[in-house]
Amino acid sequence: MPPNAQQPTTDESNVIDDAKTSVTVAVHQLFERYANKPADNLGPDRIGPHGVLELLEDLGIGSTDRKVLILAWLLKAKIQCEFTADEWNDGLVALGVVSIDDLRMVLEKEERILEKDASKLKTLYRFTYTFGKPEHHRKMDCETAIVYWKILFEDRYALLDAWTLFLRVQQIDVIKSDVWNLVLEFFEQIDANLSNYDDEAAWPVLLTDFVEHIRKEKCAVGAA
Amino acid sequence: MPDAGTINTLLWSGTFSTQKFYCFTTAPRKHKADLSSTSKKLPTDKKTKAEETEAIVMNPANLKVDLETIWPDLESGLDDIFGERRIEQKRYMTLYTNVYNHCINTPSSFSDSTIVAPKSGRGVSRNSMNGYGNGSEFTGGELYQRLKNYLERTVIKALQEGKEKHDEELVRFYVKKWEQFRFYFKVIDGIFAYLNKHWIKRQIEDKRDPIYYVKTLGLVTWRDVLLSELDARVMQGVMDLIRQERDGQTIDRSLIRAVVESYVDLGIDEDASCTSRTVEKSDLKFYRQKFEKRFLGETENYYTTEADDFLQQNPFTEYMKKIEKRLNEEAERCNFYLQTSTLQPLSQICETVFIQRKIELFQRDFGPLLEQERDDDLARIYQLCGRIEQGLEELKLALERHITRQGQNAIDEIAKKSPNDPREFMRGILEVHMRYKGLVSKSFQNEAGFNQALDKASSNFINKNAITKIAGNSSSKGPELIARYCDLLLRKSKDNIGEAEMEEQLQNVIAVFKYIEDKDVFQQFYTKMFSKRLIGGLSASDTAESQMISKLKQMCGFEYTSKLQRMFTDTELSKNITENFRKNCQEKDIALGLDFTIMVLGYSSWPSMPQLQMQMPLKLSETIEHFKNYYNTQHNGRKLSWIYSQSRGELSSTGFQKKYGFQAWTAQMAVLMLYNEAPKQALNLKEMMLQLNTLKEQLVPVVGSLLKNDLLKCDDVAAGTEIENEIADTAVFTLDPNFQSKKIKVDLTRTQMRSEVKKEAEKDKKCIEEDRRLVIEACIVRIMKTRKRLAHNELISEVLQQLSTRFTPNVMKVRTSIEGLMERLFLKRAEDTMNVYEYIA
Repeated sequence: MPPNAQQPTTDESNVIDDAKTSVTVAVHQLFERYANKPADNLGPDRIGPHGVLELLEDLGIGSTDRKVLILAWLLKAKIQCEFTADEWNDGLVALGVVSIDDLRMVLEKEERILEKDASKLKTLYRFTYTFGKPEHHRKMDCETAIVYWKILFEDRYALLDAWTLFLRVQQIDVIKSDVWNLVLEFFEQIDANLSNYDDEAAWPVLLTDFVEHIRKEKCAVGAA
Repeated sequence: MPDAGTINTLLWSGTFSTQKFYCFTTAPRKHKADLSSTSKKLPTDKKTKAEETEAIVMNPANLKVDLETIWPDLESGLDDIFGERRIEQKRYMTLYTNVYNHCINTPSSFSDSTIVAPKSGRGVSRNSMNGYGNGSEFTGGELYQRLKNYLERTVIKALQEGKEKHDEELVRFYVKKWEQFRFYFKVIDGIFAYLNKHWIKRQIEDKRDPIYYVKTLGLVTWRDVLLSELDARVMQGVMDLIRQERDGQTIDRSLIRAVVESYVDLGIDEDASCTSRTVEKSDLKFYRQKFEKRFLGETENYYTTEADDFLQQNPFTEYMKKIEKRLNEEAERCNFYLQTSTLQPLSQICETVFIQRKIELFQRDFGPLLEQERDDDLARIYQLCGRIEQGLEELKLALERHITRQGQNAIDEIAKKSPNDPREFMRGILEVHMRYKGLVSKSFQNEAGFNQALDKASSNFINKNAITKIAGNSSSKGPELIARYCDLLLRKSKDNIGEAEMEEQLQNVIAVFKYIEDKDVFQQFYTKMFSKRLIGGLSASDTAESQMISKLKQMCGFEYTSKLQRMFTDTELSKNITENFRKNCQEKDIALGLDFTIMVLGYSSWPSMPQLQMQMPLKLSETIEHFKNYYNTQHNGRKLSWIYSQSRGELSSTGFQKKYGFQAWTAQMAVLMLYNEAPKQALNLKEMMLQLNTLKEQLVPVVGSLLKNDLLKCDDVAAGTEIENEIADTAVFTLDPNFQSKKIKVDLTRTQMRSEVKKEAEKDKKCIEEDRRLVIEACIVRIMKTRKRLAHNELISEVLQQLSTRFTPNVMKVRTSIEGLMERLFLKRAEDTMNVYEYIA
């Protein structure tokens, strides 16, 4: 029995403090479980790639699952496949998570919310760009962007495959942040047959080129 | 009973109105004399006892004046009037007094009302309820009725007479009767003045219609009894007359005018006549309904047939002349015998029939007339089509198409013969442009829309034509040719023109320049050639140069010409620098041993020039050192870099059969001077490269130019062929001792050093692209800095608009620039909508 149970006179803030402490301790214990793996060799206050893999295994999700991104987003992670002690502790405490089971449930719940909440999806989407590119780079390279689009969107948008193909054929190297941001808007707003694409609107030139490309292809098919 | 005062007042004004028609010079009766004196003495309503008694003497209150007593006399008077018998003053006064006495003295009797009442059922009920007019202290109802019946009878008589007549005869009869009757009505109105004043006035005030003042009663009777019957036939007569006139016959126009006037006078405004004594102010409604409508209908039919018939037998150009004539005739007709207000609908009918309904003919023939240069007919089309709404729009488009085609045809011809001749190009453009500028100002009165069409077309064919097509659809070919044309004008040559003509020519250039889309390309070529003129001292006239600059400035603004201006200044300043340097040398006792002229050019204002690395001959390099030292004492910290590629000099030779002088580029000089020392006057390339400390690719073109001028010989290069860049280092070049020239002064600078030309053209193109990118970005930032937040489309159109004086930017380029600026954090997209940009401060 904890010592304060015997002293009912103790004020409530103490109770809360103690509760907090116990949460913090539990969260930190979880951190310890994955941090400082010898294979990662990153030091004691970080969970490295191997630790993350182990964590994912415990959570029962694959490494290309969207939930991985959601986790990084919820913990405000800065670097891929790494969590610092602060990120982990603050993030989990804020979520009120003390166990792997809790965490699994939270991730599943968040994913369900994302399906419906467009603005939340947008924040996750924008987070992905900063998170996904190397820390000191301004732009994300195209292949990385393609991987993240697949993770984020799965089969949500019919045009995604055509878009990916287009980028590869045109040998696009990098995706600028403006293009990244507007790709989501584009997929959200524009029909698969491009009928409501407005040539006068402020789409980035790359997307305009894409639309032209698709239209030309359609014409070619129509002519054949 | 009215009081005496009222009577007096009425009496006075009654007399007054009578005087309008009959002039009393003597007083026929005693009371009349009194009356006149009364009227003179009575400027106001003030009454004296004496006047009252006078009035009463004239109208003894107790005298019973029965209608039956006076009517026979009145009726015979009316008979006299309508019978065209003269009424003496005395007789007139008797009649007048009869009416007066009847109206004043007979006490109101119920019999009056019973006579008038049966006229209408409505009247009966009202009368029986109110007793015929509460104000019926005045007698007159029966008199009115009798008069009305009399007038009806008389007018019916006239009507019977009219029924016998036809056509013009009828019109003539109608006019005659109308003029008589109108006058009689006025006379009767005078005689019955007291009826007007008393009984009628009250009835009207009580809104007992239809009761009219006597004169109006006459007119109404005329209208309702006679005209309603004869209307159709009179109109037919009038319309026939007008038709005859339109057919070219002479008719009695006064007849029609009189008929029209009758229709105007008969437009009795029922409401107005109730309140106002005068019917002068007539209402045109009657005229419009009865006359104008029919007239316009007839006009439309007549001209519809005429237009079709005429067009079948005559060419279109004659048709237009016909219309012009017809429109004038109708305006004149309207002025002469119709109402002014008819002009507008009449013109409209004519325009609809003649122009609107045939508009496709105008549009069809406009093109051919342009082809045939029938300027007068074109002016006519413009005048006529301008009368109808939207009539000119098609023509403007047609003109634009035509001019574009003419311009393109002209340039097609030139492209076949001399696609690279600036003079021909300009001549072709100017011929077409001047021709149509003249046409627009002469035939189309400089109308704004036609000028716009001219501008659009000019812009079309100047920027896109066979010559630009040959140049690979390059938009820079046009500006280049025009800049070259300027160079030809402004460059010193044997056929330079006088100042006045120069001014005119420059004005022409500007007229064409205005239409050039890529003004920045022109600027680049112009700057380049201008710099060559300045460096070579080749300008025909400084005045003309600065004239041209100021014209360009006027059109495109200060920024456009600032570099040109600075280049001009640099050239002027260099003359001073040269002079001062010479003085300085004299002071310091430095003997240069050659004439030396220097130009110091600001790096940022002048176009880039090819660099040439080469060891200069000793004499020259010494002078250069002297100048460097001198210049550094004058301007501390300025870096001088020497542009040998543009420097020239003069050499004199003693080695040939004659003593020749050579104008040569410094590089040519350097090579030639090597031969002063060369054993056997032979050198191979390797030796030259070593001695001049230069690269092969810079040396080969120089040697090539000397070879071409027959100063050098080489066994490895066949005569008449170009030297190749890959020529062996060991190739030996010998100075030809047998060199001969007809001229004593040989100009070697005219031989272009070939390799330079191609490179420059490519560099120029890149330069323009890069310049444009910077200009677009600067423009976007400038706009966003002031607007802070702006929608995508607005930004794009603003940029296009602002840059239109320099070039026409590609929208894609603008968009790419916007994205680039976002990437570099000058701009960002608004959080709430993707179509709006915000400036990042």
